[in-house]
This record gives sequence, C-alpha cells and structure tokens, in this order.
Amino acid sequence: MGGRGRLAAEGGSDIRGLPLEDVFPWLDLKEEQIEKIEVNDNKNRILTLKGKIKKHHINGKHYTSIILTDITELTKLKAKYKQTNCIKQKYEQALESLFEGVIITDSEGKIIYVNKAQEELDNVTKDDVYNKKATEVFNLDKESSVLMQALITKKEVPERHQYYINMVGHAVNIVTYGYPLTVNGKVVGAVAICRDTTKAKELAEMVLDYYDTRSNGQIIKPSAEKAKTRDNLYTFKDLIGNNAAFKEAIRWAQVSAETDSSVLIYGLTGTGKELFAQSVHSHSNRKNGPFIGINCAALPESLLESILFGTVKGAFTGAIDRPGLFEQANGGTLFLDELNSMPLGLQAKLLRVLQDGTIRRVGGTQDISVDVRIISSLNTDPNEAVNKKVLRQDLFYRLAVVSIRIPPLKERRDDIPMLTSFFIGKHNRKLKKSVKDISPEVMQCFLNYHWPGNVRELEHVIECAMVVIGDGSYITLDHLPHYLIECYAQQQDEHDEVNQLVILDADFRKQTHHNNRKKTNYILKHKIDSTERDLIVKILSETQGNVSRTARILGISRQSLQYRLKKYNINRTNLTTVT
Amino acid sequence: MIAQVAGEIVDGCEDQALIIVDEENRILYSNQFALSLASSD
Repeated sequence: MGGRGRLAAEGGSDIRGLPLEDVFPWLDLKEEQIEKIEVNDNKNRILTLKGKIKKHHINGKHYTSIILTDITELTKLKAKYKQTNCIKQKYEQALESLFEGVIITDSEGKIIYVNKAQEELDNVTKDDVYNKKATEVFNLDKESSVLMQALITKKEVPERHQYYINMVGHAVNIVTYGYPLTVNGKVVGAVAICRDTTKAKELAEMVLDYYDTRSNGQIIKPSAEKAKTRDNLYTFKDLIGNNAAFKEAIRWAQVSAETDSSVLIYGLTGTGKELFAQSVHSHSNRKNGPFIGINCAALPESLLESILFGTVKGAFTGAIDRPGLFEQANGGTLFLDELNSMPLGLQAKLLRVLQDGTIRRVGGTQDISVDVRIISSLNTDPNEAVNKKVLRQDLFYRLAVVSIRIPPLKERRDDIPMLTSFFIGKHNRKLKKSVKDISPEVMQCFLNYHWPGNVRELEHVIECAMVVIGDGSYITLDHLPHYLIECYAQQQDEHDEVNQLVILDADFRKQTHHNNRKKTNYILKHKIDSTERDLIVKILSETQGNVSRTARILGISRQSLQYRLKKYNINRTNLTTVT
Repeated sequence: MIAQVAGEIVDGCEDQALIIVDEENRILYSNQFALSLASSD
C-alpha cells in the first residue's frame, strides 16, 4: 500500500522524520512563493493551492515553514465570474446595437443601465443618469413612468405614448413599454423599451397639415404609388383583367359603389386592394367628397388614434387643436388599409364611432358628428384574422357589409399576358422606351412562376427589365431578376427530364417488365445529368471558361447556364467539378 | 515547542496546510490538512 493511504489512515503522526521530498515531492523549497499548483488530495479531488515558504533561525537551528492555502473554490468562483462577465458583455453589446432605447432600473427605480440609443434620445451619457431615480431623470411621477409602474404592479406595462423634455431641453416623443425583471419570483428591477417617434410625430403632423390645406379637394394617402387629385383617382377602368374570379370581384365592387354600405376588401399583398377602394369611391355618390387613406400598420396605436380622431389642446404636452382624418373625410370615404394591423384597443374605439356616427378628439369632451363611408382592407382572410384575434369579430361584421376577395395572381394566370402588355405600355411612356413585347421564354417563365408579390411584383419585374434592357425591343430571360431565372431554370430542368423519361420510357415499356422500369428511369436520369455536365465542361474548356459563349453554343440562356454550373458544382476557373 | 504551538493554532484548519521541516528537510510537523495532501507515491 502506498504512503499516502497509510499516512492518512494513521493520522499522519508517522510522517514526522520523513524527508519532505518523499512526502510532498511537488514542493520546491528554493522558492519563497508558491503561485498556483494543482494537487490531488487523499480523496482524489484536484485542489488548487497557493503558498508561502519561510526560513526561520531559532536558537542556532534552521527551520523552514510551508503554509499552503486551498484556493480551489476561489479559483472556480473567479472562472465563473469571468464567464458571467463575458456573457454580460455580450448582452450589453447586443443592447447597445439596438435602435430602440433601453433603460434598466434596480428595484428602487434607480437607473443602472441605459443603452446607446437611449443616450442619443435623451442627449445624455450613462454617467449622467446612473444611480439616479428614473422619475427624476425623466421628470415623471410614479403613475406616468412605465418603469415605476412595472415595479409597483409587477406586471408588463403596455405600450404608451410619452412626451417629455430631455435634460438638454429637447422635446422627445416616444412610445414606451415596461416589464418587471424577476429573479426567483422576486422583482429586482424593471426595463423600459423606448421607440423614438419624434420624427414619426412630425411626419404625422405634416400629413395632417397636408390634409388640412386641401380639405375641399380629393385626397388620397401620400404613400399611394400614383399621386392622384380630384380627377384622377383610380376607377374601374384601371382594373386590368378578364379572369372570371377577378371580374366577379369587380362586379361586387361596382354593386357596392351604388350603395353607402361599408366595404371590406381582402387579398394578399400586391393584389390591388387600394385600386378597388378608390374605384368604389370614384363611382359612388361620395365621389365629390374627399377620399382619405391611412395605412394602419405604419403608425403606433397612440399616434394612429390622434391621426384618426384628432386632438384638443392640452390632451398631452405639445398637443394642439386639430381635426383627425374622420373629420377631414366628412362627406367622403375613409380607407383603412391593413386594418388587421390596427391594435385591438383602437378597433374597439373605431367600432363605437361606427355605431354612434360621432367621434371625440383625443383629450376632448365634445362628440362631433361625422358622415364618413368606411372602406377597409385586410391582407389575410377575414375569418383567419378573427380566429387569430387580430380583428374584432364585432368590427368585422360592421365593416364587412359587402366583402370583396381579390384573387392572387397565381389564381388568374390567364390575365398575365394582358397585364404584361399593360405594364409595358405604362412604363414605355414613363421611361420613354419602345419595348414591344416579352420573349416566349419569358412568357413561359411568367406563367410558371408563383408570384408571391402578385400584380405589384409582376409590374416591378417588368419595370426592372425595361430599365436594364437598353435599346432592345424584346424582354428576354437576360433582363429578368436572378431569382426568377433560377426558379424557371429549375422548372425547365424538371420538365425536360420528365419529357425525356416519358419518351424513352415508352421504348423501354415494350421491352422490360414494370418492376425494372423504375430502376431504369433512375439510371437514365443519372445518365442525362452526367452527359449534360460533361458537355458543359467540354464547351467551357473550349471557350476558356467564357459563360456567354458557352451558353450561346449550348443554345441556352446565360442565366440557365449559371444555374447548371451551380447545380453541378462546376468551377469554370479551373474547370473541375466537385461531386 | 514552536511546532506544538503552531499545531494547536492550525491543526483543525480545513483550508490551510502547515508543514515545518528541519535543516535537513525532514518533517517536524504537519497538520491534518497537509496530511491529506501527502503523496502516496
């Protein structure tokens, strides 16, 4: 049995007299300090030790004392601290990179962290605000401070609009919300996220000013693609298409134009919901009144409320007497685009307005009668929006007296040739070009593509092609965006393979048994791929890697060749394939 | 004598080891914790 086990068992008295180097061979008495050593103890645990060695001279004799301190736990704690600090730094870096302001307080409401965005928002440095009460820094009371509310209620504080003067005297408009921070169920602080809406507020003021100055004219939302005045709002003549479902949508819109009922238009993005809304207005009895559109997804709830219903002076700091869009649309039509993005709280207020026919400005006490027709739109199915609770059911029934579904482009592919001609004509005038048509290959590409962006995407693709076409007369695959080509080439590829397999399969069918055919088809597909790859490599070698020339020789477009180079991992610079 | 006094002070100490050796580096005293570190080789 070894010395350590024996020594430990016998209480250590028998190590007296033994040479130090036999019992503690890892000790070096030449040093005065033992910085850090790792030693196994008698329970086979690894201990970290540091120590001191001192020489003593007593009564003419020399002694040496060695004191070793166990720093195992301390070392582990240091490592843990280092690791925690590293994580903390990563989180801080993430918070610093946010565009939104972040303020964190301790449980007493004293600020312990603000990120860079918040520093810029308030024009302060971290040192200016650290360890100060949030209520003092922002000149707020316990009720108005989301941080204090989060600490007091121990619950999330929903989004609210705040206006304050920062420490250097600048007015700041923010939308903010707060959360309590808990550790083991105990609230240890709070965090507030602040979005600067000063610029959005200024923009909203400009929008309202714009409406104010033109209160007698036809007005559409400024974000509309084509600025239209009283005489050039879209009409039903602008709705291009012969598809049966599309024509049915137009028929419903025409019927609804003859009534004063609320209309709900729904369809995917880019299907032309606003064109329908304007057309209904243009053919209604309200055509001489204003048409005002607002995108409900573009603005936060508090701002949207002020814009829709107006404000009275003193409603909140900085608020002035101003009519909202409901008042300005009086006698006309208000188009609420992307209604499913409107917060539910505001939907409830909208429902009250529709039921009572009156609005009350934010901060006001007076009810104002309005005569406004509402046309709204959803970019999703209404039932789905109700089920997902992004649209109040009662509001849906109120707004969808007439509901019109606009089919997506993939459901009306038969309209693609007509729409293509229309957009070519439109952009010929706009870009001063003389493009005649698209190549048959492009038409095939258009007809096969699934068009997630619908008619808007088709128009953009054509506009883009007409920009890059130069003086050409026909749009070819070379003028299309890469993603469209890749999609087309892939479909062509599958189509070609299927065709070849079908032809050859007919011969094989005469000769082989049904069970062998699947195997044959697989082998054949592999063979076709291999032949195609070899041919591309061969022609590329002959043209010294020139893609355009290779494509020309192979009789395919450059994009189609690029797709195949990628598919077969062909590196045209050294003409090797990675398989 | 010195070792005895030192021993009384540090013998029960669980995170500090004390070893005292004479001029020939032979062990005169080691406390319990030092003993747990003694090599068995």
